[in-house]
Amino acid sequence: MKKEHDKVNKKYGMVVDLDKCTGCGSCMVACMSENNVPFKEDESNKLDSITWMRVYKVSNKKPYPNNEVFYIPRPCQHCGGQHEGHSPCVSVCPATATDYDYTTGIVSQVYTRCFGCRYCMAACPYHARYFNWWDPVWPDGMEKYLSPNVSPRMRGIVEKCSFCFHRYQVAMEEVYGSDDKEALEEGDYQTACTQACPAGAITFGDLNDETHAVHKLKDDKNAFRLLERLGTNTKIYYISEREWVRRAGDNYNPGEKTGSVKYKTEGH
Amino acid sequence: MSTIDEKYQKVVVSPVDEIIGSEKGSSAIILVFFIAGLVASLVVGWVIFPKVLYSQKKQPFDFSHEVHSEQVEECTGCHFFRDDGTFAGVPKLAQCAECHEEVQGDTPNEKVFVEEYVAKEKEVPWLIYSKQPDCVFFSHAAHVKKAEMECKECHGDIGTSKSLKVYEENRLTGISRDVWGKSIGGFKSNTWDSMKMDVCAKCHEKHARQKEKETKHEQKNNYKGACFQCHK
Amino acid sequence: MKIYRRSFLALGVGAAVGTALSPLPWKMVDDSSIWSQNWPWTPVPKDGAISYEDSVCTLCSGNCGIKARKIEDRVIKVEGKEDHIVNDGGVCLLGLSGPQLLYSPTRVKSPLKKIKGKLRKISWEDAITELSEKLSGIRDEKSDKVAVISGNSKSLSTLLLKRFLKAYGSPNYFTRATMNDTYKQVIKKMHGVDATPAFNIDKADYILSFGSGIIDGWGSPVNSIKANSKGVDNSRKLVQIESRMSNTAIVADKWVPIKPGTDITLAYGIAAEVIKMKEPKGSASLKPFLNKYGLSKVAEVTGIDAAQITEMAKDFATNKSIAICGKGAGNTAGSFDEFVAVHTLNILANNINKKGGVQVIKDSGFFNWSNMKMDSVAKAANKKQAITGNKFPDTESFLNKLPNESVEVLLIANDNPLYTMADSDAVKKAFEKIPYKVSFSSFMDETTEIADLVLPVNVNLEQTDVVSITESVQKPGIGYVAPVSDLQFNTKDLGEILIETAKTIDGMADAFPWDDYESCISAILGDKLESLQEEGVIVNEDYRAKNLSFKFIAPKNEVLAPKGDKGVYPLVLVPYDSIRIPNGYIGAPPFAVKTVSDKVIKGKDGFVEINPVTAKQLGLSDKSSVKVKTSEGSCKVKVNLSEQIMPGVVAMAKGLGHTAYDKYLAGKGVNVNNLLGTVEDPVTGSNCAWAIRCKIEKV
Repeated sequence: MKKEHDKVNKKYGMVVDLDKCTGCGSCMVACMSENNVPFKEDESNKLDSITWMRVYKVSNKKPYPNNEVFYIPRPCQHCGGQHEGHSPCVSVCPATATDYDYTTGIVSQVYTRCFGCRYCMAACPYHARYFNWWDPVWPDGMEKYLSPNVSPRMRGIVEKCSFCFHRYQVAMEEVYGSDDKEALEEGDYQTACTQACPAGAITFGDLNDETHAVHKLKDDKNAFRLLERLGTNTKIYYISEREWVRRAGDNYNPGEKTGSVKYKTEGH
Repeated sequence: MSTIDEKYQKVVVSPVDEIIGSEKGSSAIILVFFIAGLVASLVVGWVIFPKVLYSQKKQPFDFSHEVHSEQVEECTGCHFFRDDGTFAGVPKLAQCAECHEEVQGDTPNEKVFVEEYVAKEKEVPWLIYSKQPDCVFFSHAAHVKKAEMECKECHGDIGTSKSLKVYEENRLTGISRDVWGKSIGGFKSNTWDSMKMDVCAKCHEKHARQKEKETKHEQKNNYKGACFQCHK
Repeated sequence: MKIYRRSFLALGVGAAVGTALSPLPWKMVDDSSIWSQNWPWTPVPKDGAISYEDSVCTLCSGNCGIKARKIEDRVIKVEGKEDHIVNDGGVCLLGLSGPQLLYSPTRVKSPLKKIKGKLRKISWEDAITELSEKLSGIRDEKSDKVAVISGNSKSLSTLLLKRFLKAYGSPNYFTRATMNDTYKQVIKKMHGVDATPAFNIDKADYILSFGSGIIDGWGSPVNSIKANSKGVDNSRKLVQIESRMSNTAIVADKWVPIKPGTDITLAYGIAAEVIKMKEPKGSASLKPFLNKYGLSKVAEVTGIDAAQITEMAKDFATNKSIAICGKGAGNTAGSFDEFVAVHTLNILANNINKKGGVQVIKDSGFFNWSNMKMDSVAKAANKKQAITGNKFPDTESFLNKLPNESVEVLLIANDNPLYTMADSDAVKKAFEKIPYKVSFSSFMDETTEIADLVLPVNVNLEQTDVVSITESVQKPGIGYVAPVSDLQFNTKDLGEILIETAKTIDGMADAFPWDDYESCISAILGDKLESLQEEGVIVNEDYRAKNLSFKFIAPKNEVLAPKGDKGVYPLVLVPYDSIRIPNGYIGAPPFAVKTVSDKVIKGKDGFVEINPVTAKQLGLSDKSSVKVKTSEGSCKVKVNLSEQIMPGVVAMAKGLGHTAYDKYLAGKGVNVNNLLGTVEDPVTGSNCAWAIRCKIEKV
């Protein structure tokens, strides 16, 4: 039997231009607001602060005045793994609470199925997964802004970026419900962070679709992925014209050039 | 020899015999006890348990789908799809009030509706039989419009009912009994007898296998990795 | 019949078998897992029809176009409006937090009056009567003893507040001077027109930024970030000149650390080099003056390499260049001399009213105010001078003069002076002298807590208003602030309150002839209102001021020394704006606080950023506790060792250390304003302080 054809299957992904990212934090808040991400009194312990999208500040560690810095937004990388579907987290989940969605390439997380063993957190090389140590509590009256499209999570389970999958669900409802609309267009399904980014640094779309901007951008000569040599085969590409920035995306031996590590994977 | 045997039998066997004899009586008792336990627990499990598990709730007032389906042709006339493809579910007050601004029939229910709700502009707190837990995403558009399924396939004959049945709420989970199904044993003879996840999964898988045969393309996502199709 | 022990065993086995054959255990397993997956205390958001409603964000003066996503009547999210002249779909984290502010429990839920030292609920009717009686009572004798502190907003309701005070009879209307106010005065003096500046940084090839935080909230924040991205696409070169590496310096092509306070010298130093390479028309008069700025002297004063200055000058002279000023987010006035120096560079670049240059924007004239009818009290009072004299009515200057003035009634709108102003302890003391303070705040902030009367106004997403959009690098215009949410509490629009109150004060009604706020808006907008409401925005196509004259001005100061004795306070403390920590009159909402780095807030601790070299001299290590002392105050913070700051300079984030608001904000870090002093600019009269000298001690 033939594998599902590329044209049938979508592969949603993101390209982030690090030369444009300003570290303003809009993507983080857009994500929190879109996905009913809770907050608590003290969020300064970043290990237990739930941020599906987190912007990291990375420096070249050189002393003043040669210090340089870049910001890097890190959503879930939606790893395809070496054979599609072998994402690090999916492979270890004993509950099938996290799974690989073959039609979109999105790594799902079903909160009611998760029982909080946190194997996936240990397996994730990108720290993209967060554990709910506490019940989510919204201050009196603030539950009013909660969105019905995303179910709030309870204590004791793991959550992470879903590429705003509910937006895909909502967009598809329009396709199913419409008589003349056959398929999604590029703008119909965009993640909240992409939409909010004031710098226009994030581009989101179907990596398989030639008409989508990400299809071309991912092949930019300055594009790279995080920890590429692990073979995680992620769907988040980053672009920077600065060599040291690209170099920060993986562990390089002295003398090794960026771009030399391109992990070949099956089915892509 | 024989006397000894007989003696032996007399002396030794007879108590054994007695024991065996009494065992015949006691095993019957044990059986009675076993059956009593069995029957009692079966009664508890099949009859009492569901009565304890589910609380019975009444709808705010009665409603006849039958009467309405004579006036409105299709289910989607009241349970409509919004322009963005989403399903509106149980109609809101404003929609009902379009016809029911004033009392039309002479049923007491109609009077309650118009006086208590329409006049006071208060939404009717309907108890929804098919309400799923919050983690479930269900696209009516995908099933009704795209797959052209009948409403009946999941919702049964409610569309022709004369009155609203009692709403049974699971005391533990707070979910309507219709999701699990009327049969406490989980048996079903109709497609609409249960709205549990395995019912969805079974149907999805069946169609995927069928499609695989037809198109010769692997339809992996319809039986594996499909979590996000119905979860949010 | 005898019953043995075994009989009970049999009963048990029977029961077990029966139970196993009954649905009970299986159903219970299923149900208890469903129960444990859906705890009843985990909220389940109500479903409903999705709708989008357009408005304009009023949380800062950027005025982005927004669309609110609603489920039935609940606002669940704010998104940027595509194709809007300001933000084209982008939105900042404060705007995104709109729903958190709308539904915040820290909101003032009804009018309040201080009775026996406590704020208690009163009705709107009583509240307006109270205000009107208070104002009427002193109007005839001392109407000028009433003052207003208003946020720097360009909204119609703010203009109504200004009108209210004028009609009442007081010249004492104060607002926080921003870089825009100072630049306006520069334009007035150098070009002879009344106009607002806008900077086409998106179309410039070379940008010399004197500490302007293009992506730290400067100008219209989202618009500026967008402009920066366009610049990146066009391979523009951005040079960021400042002593601490801001986010703008991070995305800049070059960060040029400069000795604090020497920007004027650098600007003229570059001008002197530029003029050697090209001599634009009319710059002859500038030449002799620039002779003072020899390269080696400039290099010495500024601490910047001579070669680097020459390079900057060369790049500036040979590209389509623009120089910009206004430190950080530009929410402080800045120094007149510095702005003149920077604008001189723009004149040399010949970019005034040109693509990629400084736009000189005249008033749109879209607001059609009828002639105001004033009674004798108002007429007499308006001949008087404001407490700040003939200079810019800056709130900071007013507060400085307050100890020697008697103000009877103070109205405060869109500002939280007890938090936002420098040296808040002194402000608090000055406030104690004012017998009657009225707050129009919708939040229980620091100033509202000490008010005698609170008239809570509608917040962003609830309010109706019209704002003029000028701080945009594209075309200016006006935007319609539409209410997208029902009122959450018993609040009113500011305009509504003012009109209602004016009607009850003798002699003021003629100046407020409208029936209500709605008819006021339609009277002022006239036939434009309909299209404004429909489109959300009206663009002013013909915006450039014409007939500009050109005049160079020599500066009074060449170096702006920060306040404080160098001997006692060897370091310079720079407060900085971070777009993640809104520091205006609205406290940072929980979402924003959540994004703040653990090197800025950790638990309740705030941090001071210090270069390791400086730290070593002081014997400090990372995270050690220190006391930062200035001539105005002191505070305890922790050390954040950073290579992104000059030795000798230390920095602290603005927007922290609130004492009001909820547990998500209050008590976190310190309010750097407590440590700051004010320096009155000799020309504008506004507070031009941007830093202060300090010392750091181990504790």
